[in-house]
Amino acid sequence: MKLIRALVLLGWLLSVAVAHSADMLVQAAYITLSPEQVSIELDLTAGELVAKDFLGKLEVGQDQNISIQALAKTVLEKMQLTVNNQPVPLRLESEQIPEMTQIKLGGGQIQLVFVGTIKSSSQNQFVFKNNYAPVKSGYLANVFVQSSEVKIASQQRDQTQQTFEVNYEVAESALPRVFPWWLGLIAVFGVGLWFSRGRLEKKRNESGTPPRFARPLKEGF
Amino acid sequence: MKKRIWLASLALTGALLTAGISQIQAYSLASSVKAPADATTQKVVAAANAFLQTLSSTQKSKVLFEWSDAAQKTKWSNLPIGIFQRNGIKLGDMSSAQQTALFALLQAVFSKNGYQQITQVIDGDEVLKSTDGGGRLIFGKAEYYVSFLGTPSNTSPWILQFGGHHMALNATVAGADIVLTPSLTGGQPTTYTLNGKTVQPIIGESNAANKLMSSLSAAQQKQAIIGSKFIDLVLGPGQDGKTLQPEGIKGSSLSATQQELLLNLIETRVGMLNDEDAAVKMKEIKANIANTYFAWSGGVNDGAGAYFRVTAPTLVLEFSPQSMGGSASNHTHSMYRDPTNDYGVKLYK
Repeated sequence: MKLIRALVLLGWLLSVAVAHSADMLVQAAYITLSPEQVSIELDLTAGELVAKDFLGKLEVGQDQNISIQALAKTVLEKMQLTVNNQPVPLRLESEQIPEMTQIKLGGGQIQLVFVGTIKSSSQNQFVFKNNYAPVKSGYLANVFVQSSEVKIASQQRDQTQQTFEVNYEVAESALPRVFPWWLGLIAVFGVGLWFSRGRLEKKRNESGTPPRFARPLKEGF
Repeated sequence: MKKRIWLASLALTGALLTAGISQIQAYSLASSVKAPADATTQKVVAAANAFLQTLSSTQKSKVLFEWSDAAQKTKWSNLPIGIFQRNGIKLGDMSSAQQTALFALLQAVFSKNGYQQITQVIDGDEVLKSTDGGGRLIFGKAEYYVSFLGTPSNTSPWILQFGGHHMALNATVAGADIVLTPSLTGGQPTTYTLNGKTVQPIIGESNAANKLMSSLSAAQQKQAIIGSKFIDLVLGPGQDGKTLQPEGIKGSSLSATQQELLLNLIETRVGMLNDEDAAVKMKEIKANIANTYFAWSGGVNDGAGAYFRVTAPTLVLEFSPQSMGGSASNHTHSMYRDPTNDYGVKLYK
């Protein structure tokens, strides 16, 4: 009898028209690029059938509120971002948490925004991986640009959209001006030469050797 | 000395007057439209005022919001009551005369097909309520809300918001122009029987998309397909101000016939709006057809349901089947946006 009741309830829940998949946690990543910064907005929306399990896996304080720092830490441990093969350290910049009752009903959206500093060149590739899966999850990953100086060349996702690769170009005008290394080398060499010349002159003065310009001219010259 | 004081006072008065005038100009410009109201807008404004006149002062205070109310502007969703609470007044709290006046307003704003789709989605929600209603989620015909941002006017911009379960329509009226972005449509069930007739509110759109997809060669389909399964809306409620990067096959890679099929698909959504304002939008879209992309995520003709997206410089359309409600094609969400003109921002200064 209990089994029949459970099946009827499950059937009702599956057919009920909520906004998104009832049986999964939808994780939508909105990745926004600028030449120097990346921001990842991760929207977590638990469907009604998994909301209880999802909440059970979150750290909840005595005030019955979700510990956002603990959630952000867990998500960051499962999320990876590399730009040009270099891992990008991310930090939580902002968050929005709906009321607990809304999450329990299925449809309440937790929003976490992470930011990181990146070094772009004219041709770049970023790889985003989201392996956060506290319950059955469905993933979305999309890229956005903050200025016309960044152009998306191509986008590739795996079947589940947990891995997202994007090739992008940055306009030369937006790239940081790098002082050429060889100019630096010449400058160091020049300073060194000047310094050693001064020391040489001092040594000559101490030893009594007249400076080059004070030497007598050769006879007959 | 006196002369200096007099000159300083004069200069100060001048500065204050200039600042004051610019403030006044800024205030008036903030709500001025770019083109004067045409016959369509005048008809819409008259219908809106006729509806407002049927309301009591208490109802009016619930339905009218300040033009500058940014929170109310973005307070829309496809979700049912219980998860999402709309503002305004709902059909269930309106008298029959008030409902008639409201539907007359919708008929003025939307095309014949658009109005039919709206009523069919509402009827569909009532069908859903009779089969799956109850519990903590509240939906059905009585739960569709109307509200206004700003006051209906021929000279100042205002927004008509109408929505409920599976529907969020935002029509910005600004002088001669009316735009429908951002708006969410959809429905469940998408096929039902009412008074002995089969009703399919979104069949035109899904047929147009399948026709376009079937017209593509294998190589073109490869370009269009971005995933093997249908996905959720990317720019649904709460995602204002984001511009999707184009993906899929580019309009310039399509034949003239295929471009026509793409335009037909776009028109099924844009054509919800009244004929005159839809024609303005379609003209803009036709001019950009070479830079319009069509993307597809899901199987082709496998009956499992597929997501599609159209991206153009001034257009984003998304269509997303949902995994609940029997077959995926029996429950869908669609989004219509203009990344340059959501809420008609281009239409007023």
